[in-house]
Amino acid sequence: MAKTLFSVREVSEMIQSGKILVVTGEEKLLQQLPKGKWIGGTIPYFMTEEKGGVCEKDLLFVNDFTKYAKNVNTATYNEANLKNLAKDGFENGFNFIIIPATQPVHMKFAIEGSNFEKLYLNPLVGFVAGVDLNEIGKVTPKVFNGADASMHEQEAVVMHVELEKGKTGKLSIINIFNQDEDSSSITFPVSGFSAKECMVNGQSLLLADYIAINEIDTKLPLVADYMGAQINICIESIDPETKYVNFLAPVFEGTVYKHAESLGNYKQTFNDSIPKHLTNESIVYSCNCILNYVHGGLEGEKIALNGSMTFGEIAYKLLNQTFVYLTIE
Amino acid sequence: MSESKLEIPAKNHIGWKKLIQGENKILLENFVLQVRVAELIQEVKAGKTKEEDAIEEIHDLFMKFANTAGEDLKKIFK
Repeated sequence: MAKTLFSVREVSEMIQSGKILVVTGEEKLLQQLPKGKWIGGTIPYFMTEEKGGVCEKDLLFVNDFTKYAKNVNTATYNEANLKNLAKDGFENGFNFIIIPATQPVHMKFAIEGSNFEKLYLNPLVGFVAGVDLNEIGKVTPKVFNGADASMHEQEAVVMHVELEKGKTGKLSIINIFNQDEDSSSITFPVSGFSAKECMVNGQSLLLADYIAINEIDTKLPLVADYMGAQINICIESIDPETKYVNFLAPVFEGTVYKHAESLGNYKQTFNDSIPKHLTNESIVYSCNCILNYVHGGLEGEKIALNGSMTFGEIAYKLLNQTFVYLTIE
Repeated sequence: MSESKLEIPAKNHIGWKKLIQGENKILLENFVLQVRVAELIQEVKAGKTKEEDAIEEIHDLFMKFANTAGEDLKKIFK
């Protein structure tokens, strides 16, 4: 059994020995770590070897890239220079990003990221940092750049990792949601994290009215089909007065969305969806979504693959309710 | 893997043009190709990206991920 949770002292020793790490956990723990080759972000929810699904306030979740990395550097990015995040990476490798939730860099990446130079030439993987769900509005998500052990509330942090020649990073997802083939086709006139008007099977409607009239379960995402990849957009809230529907990732103009099919048991469906031969040992990094943790009832339960349960998963794009994993081929 | 021995067709092959015009409904397997091809089809359709630029980018991506894109190449150029 591979250990995934470590004390501050254990992680500090790893950093001081030169290990290349992504560290996830509580702000007060991350603040105690020394300078070194690491980046971090706040999230207290994990799927672990040791405890299964857990909200962990005293230990840190660690991903170790040391054995894969030929070279590494870290940098922070604000709204103005975020577009350089992939261009600044190595010719062959992968880029790991942590973005603080709800900040302008989060919005900019989600909406404009696909236009960033060289974004797709190496895997871009990572997550959106969050907080304890009971502390939303009281505490803000943070990211950390280990190079100077600095904490950031408004900037994203990126670790550029170089791989040996002949090695290639490959990003994949497991999304247990599928488009409901009986669903109407929904499109939006503009891209964004919220929408009022939409077209439903070509007819102009208010999305909030459409959801209410059809009693659509807003715990289920809207799903777009990207050449076979099912990409979720989760509904965060609906304002009954303005009729704006708010999403946890942007909808895009021109993309066709459908409702997701209802699920049975999350844990069983997820375990059944894992590709053959995929194990925690063959994965370099993985993360899952806090909504799967909550809606799937995963606290105290165990699914077969580990990772942080985040406020947004990044696999080139900002994803929702999706398991993301990086392998090296 | 035998996939890595597959030859990637030149940029002027008609198969790339058909792919980027969204002429055939193809379900790809490699995630990066699924996402980027779908985005570029929309961008070309909306006039935001030139067809030749989209083909160039997709060709470069297949070159980069040649060792894992064999099944997707077979689907496009069957």
